[in-house]
Amino acid sequence: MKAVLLYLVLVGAPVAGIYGIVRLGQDLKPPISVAGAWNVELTPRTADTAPCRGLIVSSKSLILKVTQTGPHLALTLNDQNATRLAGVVNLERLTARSLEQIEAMPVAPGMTSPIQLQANIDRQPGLDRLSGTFTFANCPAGTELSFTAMRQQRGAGAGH
Amino acid sequence: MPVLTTLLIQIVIILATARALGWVFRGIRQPQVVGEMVAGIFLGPSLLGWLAPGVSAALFPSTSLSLLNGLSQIGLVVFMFLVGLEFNPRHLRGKKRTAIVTSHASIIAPFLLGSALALYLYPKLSDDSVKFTHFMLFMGTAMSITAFPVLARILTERNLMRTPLGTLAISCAAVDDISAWSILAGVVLLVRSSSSGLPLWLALMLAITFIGTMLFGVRPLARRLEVAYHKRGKLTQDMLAFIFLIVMISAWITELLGLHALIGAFLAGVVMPKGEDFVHALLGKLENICVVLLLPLFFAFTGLRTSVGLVQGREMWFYCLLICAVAIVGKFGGATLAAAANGTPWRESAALGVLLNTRGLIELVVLNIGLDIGVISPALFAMLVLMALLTTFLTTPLLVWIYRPQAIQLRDRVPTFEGATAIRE
Repeated sequence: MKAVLLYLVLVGAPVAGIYGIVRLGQDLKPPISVAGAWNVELTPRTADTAPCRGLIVSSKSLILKVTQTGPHLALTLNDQNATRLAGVVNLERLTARSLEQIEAMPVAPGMTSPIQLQANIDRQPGLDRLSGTFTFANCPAGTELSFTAMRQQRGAGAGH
Repeated sequence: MPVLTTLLIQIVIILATARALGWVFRGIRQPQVVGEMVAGIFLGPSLLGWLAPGVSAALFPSTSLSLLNGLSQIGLVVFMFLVGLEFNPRHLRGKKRTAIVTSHASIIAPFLLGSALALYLYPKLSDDSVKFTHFMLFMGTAMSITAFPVLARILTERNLMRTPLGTLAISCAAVDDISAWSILAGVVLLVRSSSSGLPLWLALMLAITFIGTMLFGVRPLARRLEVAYHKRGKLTQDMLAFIFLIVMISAWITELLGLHALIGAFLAGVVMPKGEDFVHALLGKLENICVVLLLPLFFAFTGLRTSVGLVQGREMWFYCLLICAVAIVGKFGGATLAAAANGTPWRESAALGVLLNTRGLIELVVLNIGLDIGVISPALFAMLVLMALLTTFLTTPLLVWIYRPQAIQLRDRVPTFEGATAIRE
């Protein structure tokens, strides 16, 4: 009898607590998921002429990989260390800036980051899309490069 | 470089590093496994990739990792089979009531605290691709794990196995093992059924049917193996092949059912005959290859997935410390209070709390499952890996501090089972 009572107190009460936590947690709103690989397409009008295009595009296809922890993002373009960015997602807006200085292109005075990314997230069932711009701090002209990106299909249950 | 050459070089480096660090950690009275876990982290982006990214990329190119992963997963399947093999209801002999109450309390307390922590961490470390319930259940599970193999190893090394504390600890760890894997199976089923489109009730029914088949269909069949073993006086290659078939088919079916292959492997171990001779013979055949060759590959693969660099800034380190604190308070506190409430003296209760707080490689197995099914982010994975390392590292010094060897001498020795403590780590 004592063991049963002990079990009820030590195990039963926490189980009730867990049930309460499940109920409380339903109202929590986490950040939007942007993790995964995105196929980036540069807007044709600017893609070929933008002088800084070479900074991020070394091949025909451009993949933006996003690792997400809550609102914090780590991004890479085509897995290149030179184009690693750190950013945040806030509601449906994504902003990021590059971590590394690109040696070939000196940073403009007062600018600490040569590449910035800003994008809006458009979520449709089965089709997530980013549309935004890359901004190059030290580009002589045409400092913005517009793009759209589609998220690649992810494995079942694979978040982040 | 040819694929096989790359793989062989990787294995050489992993084994050498694991052995070297295992030796170093044994020198500071830590179990070998702690050194091997640290070796994995060292070979990953947290150290080698950070100090020498070129060397890291050459040694572990991302294209080669699927092969390494495959080998490490096979190692884990065999390891989980051995963990299940060592689960023996006889461990609970004479201690069933205390063990069940203490063990369940030592699971539910960290589970509750882990769930409460999930309320705080969910908006900060997760995103809307993960449901709160899944995140919470996983956090609870990750907090409540005890590493039976590491615990058994520490008890053996500390000469505590035949003491009342040792028998109670091993009994609790046995109940912990079966309970934690059942909870994890439920969590994985829940997460996968919600993304696969298979109704939960159907997934649950299929899982229960499979478990029933294993317990009431395969177990009696497996008992014949023991009879054949005694008749022949040894484990023949045919018997081993049959056992491997059971393990692999069970792992395959649980994977198909939306559980995890490792849960099937564990279950295959649970339904094996528990005769001491048979278990020893089977361990003798499988253990060394699994522990010496394959598990270090798993540690290395885990290390390659662990990027401590993702834990950036004060905020992230605060979350990491919070996770460690909640894990320790929940497991240590829950086990200590429950054992004391059951009439165990406070010192022994605290020692039991320290022992059950050991998470070791079982935690790494669970965390890898969580990362695979997408319930936790890479940064949270890194934090939880650090928690697993810390709690495992703390066990021996805390145990020596709380439960001094001169105080126990060989007093109160009781006869106990052998075999459950085969040296794995």
